[in-house]
Amino acid sequence: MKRLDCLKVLAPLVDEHMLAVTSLSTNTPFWFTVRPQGPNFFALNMGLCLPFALGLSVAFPKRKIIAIDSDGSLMNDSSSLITVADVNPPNLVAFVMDNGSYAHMGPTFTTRRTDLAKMAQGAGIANTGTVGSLEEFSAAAKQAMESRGPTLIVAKVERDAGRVSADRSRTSGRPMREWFMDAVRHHPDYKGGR
Amino acid sequence: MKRYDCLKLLAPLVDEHMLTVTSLSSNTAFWSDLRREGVNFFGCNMGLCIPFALGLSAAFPRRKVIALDSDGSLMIDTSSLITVADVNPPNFVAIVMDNGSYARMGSTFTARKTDLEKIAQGAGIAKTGTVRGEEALAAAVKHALETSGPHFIVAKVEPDMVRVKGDPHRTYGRAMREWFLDAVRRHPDYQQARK
Repeated sequence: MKRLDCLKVLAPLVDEHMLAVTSLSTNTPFWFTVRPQGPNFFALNMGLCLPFALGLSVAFPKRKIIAIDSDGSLMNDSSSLITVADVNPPNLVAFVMDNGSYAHMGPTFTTRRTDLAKMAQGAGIANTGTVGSLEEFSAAAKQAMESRGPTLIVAKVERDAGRVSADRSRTSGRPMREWFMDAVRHHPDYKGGR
Repeated sequence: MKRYDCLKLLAPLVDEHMLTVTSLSSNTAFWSDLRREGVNFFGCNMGLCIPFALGLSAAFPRRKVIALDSDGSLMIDTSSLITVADVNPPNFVAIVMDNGSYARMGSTFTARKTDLEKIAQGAGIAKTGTVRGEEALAAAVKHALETSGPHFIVAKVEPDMVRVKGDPHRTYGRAMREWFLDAVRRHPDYQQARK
């Protein structure tokens, strides 16, 4: 199963008012390719994708919040799973694109003993699962988008062949944040600043 | 089950050459009362007890290294369990005294949905257990000290009714660290490693 194929399946399930957050990995250029518009926060540093999405899920309780995280990132702060379980936001859907490898540092622990879905269950997230084919991914994603969460889906994907880069003015640094803030300000649920 | 009673059961099982590390909690005061000699590092800050013990287990491969952690501390950095699973040290024993509460901040997540043993299994530690009684704890610890690990034991204890402080010269700051290093220097395995 390829990461881009998963995200292509996911994109049509995400409506214009849902908010998406991606980790610092190929999730970022790929997600930008399949969902260039709408509120997206791209390329959160390692460990921060799920916590950022958790905050958004509290801020926008009427919309699904989609975290598109990755194995190396989540394992930097697996304790964030405990916070997700405890806050228990019904609108949070987390996808962990698990390719079993860091971008530049070889394999991760998930290729050996670590099972992230089991860690999430232990943290207390009831709706968890691991999928290994595009059909399973598609079914799990549809169900997650239609039901109450929080839901965490580990998608076992192949290693990406070659690094991909996206339009940096949309996916990193201050321009990305300004795009994101602009999308938030135009969001129908946004009630203004303080 | 009371924490102090658990540690009292544990102390006679720990021989003079094993190494122990405690988290910043009443584990420190209680353990310093029960095991005054030997290699003890007391009061590791939150999240650091298991990582510190993991390092010691690599440095002293022939001795059991015992991490006396607590729920609030471990939940600051559950990813350390992934590292333990991956390094897979046979001499590593973690005992998490889970009282379901922070010292000053109310209940922890283990009082609600979180199961630390299951997180450890998910991380990849095969030998895990949760105990709720003193006999079960004694059996689990004996087994862990006699067999190849890593072992991970959650001991469900009551919240401590009072805050206890150990002797600061033995459990805190530079003085504690000097005691620790002195004990490490006198450890027979350390001497051999230097030769």
